[in-house]
Amino acid sequence: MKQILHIFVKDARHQWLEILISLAVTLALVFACPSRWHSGAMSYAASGSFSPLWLLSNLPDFLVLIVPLSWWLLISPVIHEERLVGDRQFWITRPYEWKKLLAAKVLFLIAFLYVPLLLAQGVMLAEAGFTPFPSIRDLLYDSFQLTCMLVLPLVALATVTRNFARMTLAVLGAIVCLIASVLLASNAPPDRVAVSYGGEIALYIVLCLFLSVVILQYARRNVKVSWILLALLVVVFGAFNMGGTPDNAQMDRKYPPGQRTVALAQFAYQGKEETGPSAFVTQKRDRVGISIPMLVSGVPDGTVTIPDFLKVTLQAPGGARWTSVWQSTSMDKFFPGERVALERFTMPRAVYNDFIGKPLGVQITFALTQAHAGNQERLTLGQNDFAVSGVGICSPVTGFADRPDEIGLIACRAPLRQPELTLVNSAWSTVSCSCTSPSPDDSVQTAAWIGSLEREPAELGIVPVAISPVNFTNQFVMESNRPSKVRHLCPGTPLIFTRYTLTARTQSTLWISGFQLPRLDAGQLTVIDHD
Amino acid sequence: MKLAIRTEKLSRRFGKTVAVDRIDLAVPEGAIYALVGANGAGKTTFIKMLMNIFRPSDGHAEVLGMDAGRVAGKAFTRIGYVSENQEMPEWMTTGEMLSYYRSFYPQWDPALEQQLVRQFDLPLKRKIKHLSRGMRMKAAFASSLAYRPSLIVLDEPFSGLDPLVRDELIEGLLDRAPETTIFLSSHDLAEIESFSSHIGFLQEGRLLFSEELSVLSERFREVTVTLERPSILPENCPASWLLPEVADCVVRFVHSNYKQQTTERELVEIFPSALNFSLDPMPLRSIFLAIAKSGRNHVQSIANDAKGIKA
Repeated sequence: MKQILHIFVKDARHQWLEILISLAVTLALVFACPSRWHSGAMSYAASGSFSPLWLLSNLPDFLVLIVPLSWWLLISPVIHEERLVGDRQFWITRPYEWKKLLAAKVLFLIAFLYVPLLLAQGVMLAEAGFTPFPSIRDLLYDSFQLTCMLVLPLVALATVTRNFARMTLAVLGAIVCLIASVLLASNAPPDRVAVSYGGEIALYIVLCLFLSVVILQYARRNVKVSWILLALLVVVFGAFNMGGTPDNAQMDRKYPPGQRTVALAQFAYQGKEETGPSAFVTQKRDRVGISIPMLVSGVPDGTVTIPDFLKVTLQAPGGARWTSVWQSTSMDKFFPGERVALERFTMPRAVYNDFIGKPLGVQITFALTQAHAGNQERLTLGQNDFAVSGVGICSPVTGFADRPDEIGLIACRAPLRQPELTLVNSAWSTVSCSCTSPSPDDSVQTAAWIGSLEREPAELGIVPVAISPVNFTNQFVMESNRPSKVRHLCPGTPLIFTRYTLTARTQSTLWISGFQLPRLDAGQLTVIDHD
Repeated sequence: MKLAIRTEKLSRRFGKTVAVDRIDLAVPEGAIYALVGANGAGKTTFIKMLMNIFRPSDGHAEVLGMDAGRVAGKAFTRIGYVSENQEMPEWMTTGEMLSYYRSFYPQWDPALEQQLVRQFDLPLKRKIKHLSRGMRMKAAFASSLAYRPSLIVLDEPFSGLDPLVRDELIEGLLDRAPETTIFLSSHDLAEIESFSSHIGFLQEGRLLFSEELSVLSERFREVTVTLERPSILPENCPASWLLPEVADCVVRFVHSNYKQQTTERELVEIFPSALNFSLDPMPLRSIFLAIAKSGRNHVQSIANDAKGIKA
């Protein structure tokens, strides 16, 4: 312990400037962030053109970027103080024990990175209106995520480089690899689901590989093997980014098929209606999009069914068969009652050309999530912040261009993560809120979803407050040859927050026989964003 | 005899280049061992393998009775290492550096530290990065001697230093000699000849010989044979004769395996008509020049001679 403290004190003495910079940036973030959380300060007036006001209102965003940079400035010199690359360093022929040296560096990061961050996050939570102490476990989880995704990679790169300049090159190289991987992924076939599905596994693989590099470097100073491990990391990351398609086994685990006797929703093909199936070109020339209308019914009362993914199998009379991988859907959530929904998927153009004109058997399998409507909270919109249980604290946002004093948006904030999945119902006013006697015709019903069913302990982030804008539907009124009108929420408008909880996940299958692939209208371009 | 350093077939390759080639070496405790050789002979690589900075490609080394691969951490409380191109904590002052190192060594002797500071006239308040080369080496010496290590390893410690600094460092080193083993490398024979007890000669990664300096000096003789009439070299010249040459009636060579009882008899047998034999002791510099000039063909025979193997 004596040696650990001795090295720690030496590092703290030498890196005082970097420590000071890092603390100053963190402190600035603590001061800047609360300005955008409270109703009085939440205004869109500063948005738009560049101005000192714009700069001030966006300062938290800049600071959130600068904080990791200040960590980079902190990590590089402290690791390079006893650098692990080379054969001339003073410390390698002194009685340094690698475990104690590593412990001293960890202690340094705890003292000057993690503790200030935790304190800053605690203060920010308090400023946002939340008690920090119940969130300590989640704050620690956030620190763990930041370690995996930011601190540990920087430490690992510092251990395999000689100095700040070399480390900068390595970081730039890593960023280039990251961008290349994302670009390659964006060019990959879209019939895949979100990479987040493998995110947790990726997180642990990344953690293990980076940890291996750091420990290997301190224990053995084997730069060659460490670089090989880092290259492997790039490959693993690329593989997760490129091939984030879960296999059937993964999907069956998350969405157990045939688990429920009563389906979460029933689907019926609506091919005979006026709006039959259609084909469209996508941004990717080698793929064709197909849109199939379906009648959705059978959603139990008090629930909502969310179509997460779908998989399509086409069977031609001659035995030819094509099955897509799991694709994310663009369909809305299904409520009780009947409605027609358009189900879209994409397929390779070559397969489309082979199958067109043939009567096909179609099997569409949906991966569905059911959420049950739980607690409902009715509130009246005021001018100030208001708390909603299970959601957090919400603030009315003013400052829209044509009616700067009226509320155009509600933004809710929650500690460390998005709130639980919540449906918010309200009503727009079509006339000015200052109008003394509005009639019922002057209001338009609206709704919005916020939050998520996925309940991670904390979302990755430096600022521990998650903002969820309540994006109500029908805000803009489009009229031909006229500028669009914007509706507003008036103080006194009722707000209903209905929280939904996860009840089931399963798969449901729709069979269509004698299906004909629709002809492609080459002039039509529809862009589907599957993520 | 206890050994401070022992190596067996110690080798190190960098790609296809063999930097150190199967070196067998034994350094007895208490010796002042000088490993000499030209630049690029493999001295630094050899030392870095002893200090576990490089891992050997092959072979084995022991330092103070422990496997060289385990020389790390606490082992360095018994080993002092100074290298000509070793980095130092540049931002610290000399005093801060000594103070920083002090707590790493349980046996650090503050009195000796003070003595070394005075002896080397170290400026305690000057930053290391502002020290001259000589002062840097003095600071490195002081920080490696103050804990009375059992073994001091020095890699080209006097390289590029002015004679005054060199003498000061040697003096400081010799003050510690009775209580330690000193292993140093150098390409300058003159600087180590005066105080080394043992010597090893490294050439192109191979150890040509390793022995006590007195034995080495005893083994090498510059031989001059005066003949009655001009002659040519005999065909059966032993391999231990280096750089043989004939000029009229005089034959000259360096005998690398001189033994008082046998060498003169051997010479009489080879030159029965010789008028005179002169066998002169050689300075170390001449011995090494002879070895170096004699070239590769003699390398093996000299190495064998050193081990007592007949060529």
